[in-house]
Amino acid sequence: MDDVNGGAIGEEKMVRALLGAAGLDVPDDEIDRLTKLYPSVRRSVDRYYRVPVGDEVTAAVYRAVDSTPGDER
Amino acid sequence: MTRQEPWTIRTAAAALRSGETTSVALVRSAHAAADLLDPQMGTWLDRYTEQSLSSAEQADAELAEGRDLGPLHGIPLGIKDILSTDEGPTTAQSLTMDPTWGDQGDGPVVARLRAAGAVIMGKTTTMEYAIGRPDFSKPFPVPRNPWNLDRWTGGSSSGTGNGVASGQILGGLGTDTGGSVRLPAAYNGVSGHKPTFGLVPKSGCVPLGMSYDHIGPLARSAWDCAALLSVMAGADPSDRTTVERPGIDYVAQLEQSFERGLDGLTVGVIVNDAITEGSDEATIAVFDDAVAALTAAGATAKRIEVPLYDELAAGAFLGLQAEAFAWHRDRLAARWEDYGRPTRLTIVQGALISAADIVQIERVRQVARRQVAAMVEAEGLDALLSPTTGHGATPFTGGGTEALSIRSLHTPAWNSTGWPALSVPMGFDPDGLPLGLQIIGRPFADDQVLAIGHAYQHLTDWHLRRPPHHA
Repeated sequence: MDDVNGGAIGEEKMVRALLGAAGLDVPDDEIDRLTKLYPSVRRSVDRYYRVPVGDEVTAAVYRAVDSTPGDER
Repeated sequence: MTRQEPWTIRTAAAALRSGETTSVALVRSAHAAADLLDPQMGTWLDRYTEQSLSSAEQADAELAEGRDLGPLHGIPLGIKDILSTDEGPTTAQSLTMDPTWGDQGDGPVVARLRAAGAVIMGKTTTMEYAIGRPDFSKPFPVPRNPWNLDRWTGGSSSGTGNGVASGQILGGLGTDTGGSVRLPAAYNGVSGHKPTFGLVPKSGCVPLGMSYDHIGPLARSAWDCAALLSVMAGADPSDRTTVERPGIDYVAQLEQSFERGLDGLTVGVIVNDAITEGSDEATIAVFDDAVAALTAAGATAKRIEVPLYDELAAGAFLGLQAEAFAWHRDRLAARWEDYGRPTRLTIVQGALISAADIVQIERVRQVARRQVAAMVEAEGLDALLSPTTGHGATPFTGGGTEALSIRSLHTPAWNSTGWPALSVPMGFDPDGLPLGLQIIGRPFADDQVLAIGHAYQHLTDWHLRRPPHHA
């Protein structure tokens, strides 16, 4: 795992950085737990980038005119 | 509520009209059962004794005057304590919940049940914010399974599930973000329905994963769930994800379907590795028997693989964690230690997922939904079948439950699609623990899903079995 400057950044540092950015102060033992989980979270997420998805597919469907409830789905 | 056969909403409704019982008798009996069982079972966070008896007296008077509000009139129900009600605050079984949040009173679904004459008995236990695990470190009851008190009820609609199974209530509300109606239905040996997303308004419910959350009924039978859903369903302006559709009497639909029988019905038996490898041998054997019962009654079964099933299932957890973190972030920052450890460590994983990740998960979700719909259309399927879970209820060990294998939950893919899914009891494992059959339908084909469950419950009596810990 590389940081933006091309240097290696450890998983624990990454977890601490992400939690810190969210304003969370998490005890060390729970940082350890999340650090152990982090690679499996990444593996779970990375599989979604391997699924063929059309370029036109958006994450959410927006319509200019909002008519009846539920149209946004 | 002691009888040879346990009460169902259907039998109680008939007994109320024949004079065999009264609503006051049902509600008194329900409270007596709760007095006896709740200390062991951990079903209730709060009971509204006076208010429920008053509602029952009113129901009896109305029925005596010939003012009949339908099958829920005078029926005692439990409400999962992440849903707001007029009577008291909503705790979400957490020390961190804002006590003023419930000031809004009844959400639309509770208000509809009340208007249909249902008697609200109180608030049932959940897992903290509908996502934690049994947590002995917090000052809340730990719900236990009436089939074996050393086993979990499943969650997170735990109290409604074990309350129905143990005869403390005839039905109630749960919520389902990854399986939280269907899992306790399966583990407790009752029926539970996750409606189509958009059919039932979610306002008045503490959110978990806003695009995966569903409010659904639990009760003994599919018929009972249909009676509840008939009242619960319908768009509401307070929830803009709800869809305007004609009102449906799901009980009438289910009974009409029953008269037609199962001939001509085609069901897809899901054989993805996630199901077959994520289930123990006993569960697969019981599931095969359930499919055989349906085919013997006229249905045609096809073995099918659901496209992108693993992505739909895993995406529900990743997506709900991100959505839950969005709701909880500031509260987690302020009150980390007041959350239960399992709860905070689950929700905070949403902080480890990037915005781009969520975009990609949602894009795949859309593609997967379309592929599943195309497969169902191409195969001519009326419904899909799988076990609800890969095994019976999980044991308590140490400070919580034995690690709950995500792979054993066969429910979350249908939160990603938003399709309706019903769990009905289909038998027992070698330890005497109930197992659930999951029946999945096309969007807004809730009537068909319930009709298949109803037909199955005419072929079997698993849903009427009483656990050792029963009123």
